[in-house]
Amino acid sequence: MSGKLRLALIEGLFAAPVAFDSILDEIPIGALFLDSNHRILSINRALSALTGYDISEAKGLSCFNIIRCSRCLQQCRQMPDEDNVYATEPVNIVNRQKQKIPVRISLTPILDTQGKTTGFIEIVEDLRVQQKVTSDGVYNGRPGNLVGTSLQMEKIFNILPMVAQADSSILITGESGTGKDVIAEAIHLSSGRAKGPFIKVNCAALPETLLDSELFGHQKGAFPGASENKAGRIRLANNGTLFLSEVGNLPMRLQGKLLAFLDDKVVYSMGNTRGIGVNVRIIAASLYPLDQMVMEGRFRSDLLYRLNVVRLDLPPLREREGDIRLLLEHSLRSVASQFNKDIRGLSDEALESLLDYHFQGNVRELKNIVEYAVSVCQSQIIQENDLPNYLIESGGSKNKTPVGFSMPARPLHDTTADSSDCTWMEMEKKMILEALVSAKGKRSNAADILGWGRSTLWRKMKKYGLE
Amino acid sequence: MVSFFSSESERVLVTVQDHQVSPRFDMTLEIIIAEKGLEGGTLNEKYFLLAEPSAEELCNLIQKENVQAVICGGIEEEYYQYLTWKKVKVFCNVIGPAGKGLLLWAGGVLAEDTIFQADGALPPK
Repeated sequence: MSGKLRLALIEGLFAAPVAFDSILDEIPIGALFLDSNHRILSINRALSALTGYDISEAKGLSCFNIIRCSRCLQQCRQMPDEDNVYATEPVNIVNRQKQKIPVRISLTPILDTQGKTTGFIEIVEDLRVQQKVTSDGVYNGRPGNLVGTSLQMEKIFNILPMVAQADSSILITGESGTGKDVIAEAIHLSSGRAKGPFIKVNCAALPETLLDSELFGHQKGAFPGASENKAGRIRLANNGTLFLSEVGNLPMRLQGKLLAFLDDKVVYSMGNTRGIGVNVRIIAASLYPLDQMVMEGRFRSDLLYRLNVVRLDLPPLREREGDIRLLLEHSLRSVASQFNKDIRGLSDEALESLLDYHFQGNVRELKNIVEYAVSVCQSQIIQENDLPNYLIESGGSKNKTPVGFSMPARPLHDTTADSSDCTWMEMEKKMILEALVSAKGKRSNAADILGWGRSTLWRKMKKYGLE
Repeated sequence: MVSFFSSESERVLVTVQDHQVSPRFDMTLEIIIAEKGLEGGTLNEKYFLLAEPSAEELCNLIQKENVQAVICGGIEEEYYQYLTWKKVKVFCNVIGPAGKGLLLWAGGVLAEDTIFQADGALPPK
């Protein structure tokens, strides 16, 4: 917190005056103080983590600009008076990271000694932790939205509660679309830190300097443009979990800095020599084989050992016996309900094609296929011709695998003979180019060929400079 | 909605609430569609009131009206990705007066995450 509130003290309560902001920051639920005009005076660290705005940005703004609750545009003008407390029913917010988060908000007037309203205190409770799936016995009781009965997944589900409670660092590996993010969040929700924040950082999304500032924070004046202090994601994740997605992309210098943090749990922000102790659990995920990256000198072995305390290898969908059918049923039900369509199931031919398919994009691809099929289906049963063309072509004419639930393991993207000499990035770039050529430059068709969503293709094309 | 702009201009849609950039794309009931000439110049603005808030309807409108940019507050990832895919530049997380946002856009200096202070001024650099 900055400005006047930084100096605000609570006197007469404890033996000595204590700083108000330090107490507010330790409250694990989002909280903010508003003046009588509903402008923000102060927000705590938990709310910063939830909304993506720190106090230097939020101070002086109307609360609805930062909280962005679904009721803000309907009922916010009817603020509570002294006898009234703003409704506490569940609503949702959209944060700076473009996530829609279910929350419960309560707003209570603060009265001065004469009983006159002088401001408000608003409590914002993240409800994600309470939203566990209970509608279906197959996955009832599991944290998050985890579906699967295959031996490999059962093994993971069985150890998940123990892993969650252990508080050790976790490394999750697996192909794209296998659900690394979902598992990470499920671990957080099952852990003792569930009430704390779950902060995700994509290490591949930002250049080194920005990532440094984003992770560790910076002091005002640490570099040109640093006009305010920034806490950094690690501090925002205090008492919660920090999820480092695509950790293999972390630059070497930051690997060293992260390692130092993991050793002593003290964050040194840019431009500050005084460290701040933080209590954070680290979960890292990687698409790339980190062991191989260590051998190639692209990833620090000591960091790998620190992260690799518990390792979860997520199997590709084609190796998860029986899960394709289960996931199809689950996805079909949820997508049909989302699209408000009365779809009862799949025809035998459509099911056969899907079971015969390799799902190189794993669960994400399966969900995309189901979404496509539900969108185009005109009857109550999804027919084979409701499925994307590339799936019918590849399943019907190329793959002569017998129908069944157990898919033979196949190297990912073994479309070309010279694949062994390529790195993953080169291979992926090549795949995109090949798909674009096959689709005659049409990006939506290329996305279909690759089994990705169009936004995924767009993101990867941007990453490889193929726009 | 009948198109009222020339094809030689650049168009922007601003989500509005009480003259401010609306904090939620999906909850917006009021919008401004404005245009500027290719060499900059005067803004031509039209105000619309929507029958009900709907992110999908807004996305349809944006395409139908050949809008090239959107100025909004909070927006969900799926709509952001969709609009970006459709080559619509999304200036999201803009906080402050809609008119000020439009002026910055017309001047080619608006950025995502722009926050105007309570008096409408930009925060000091």
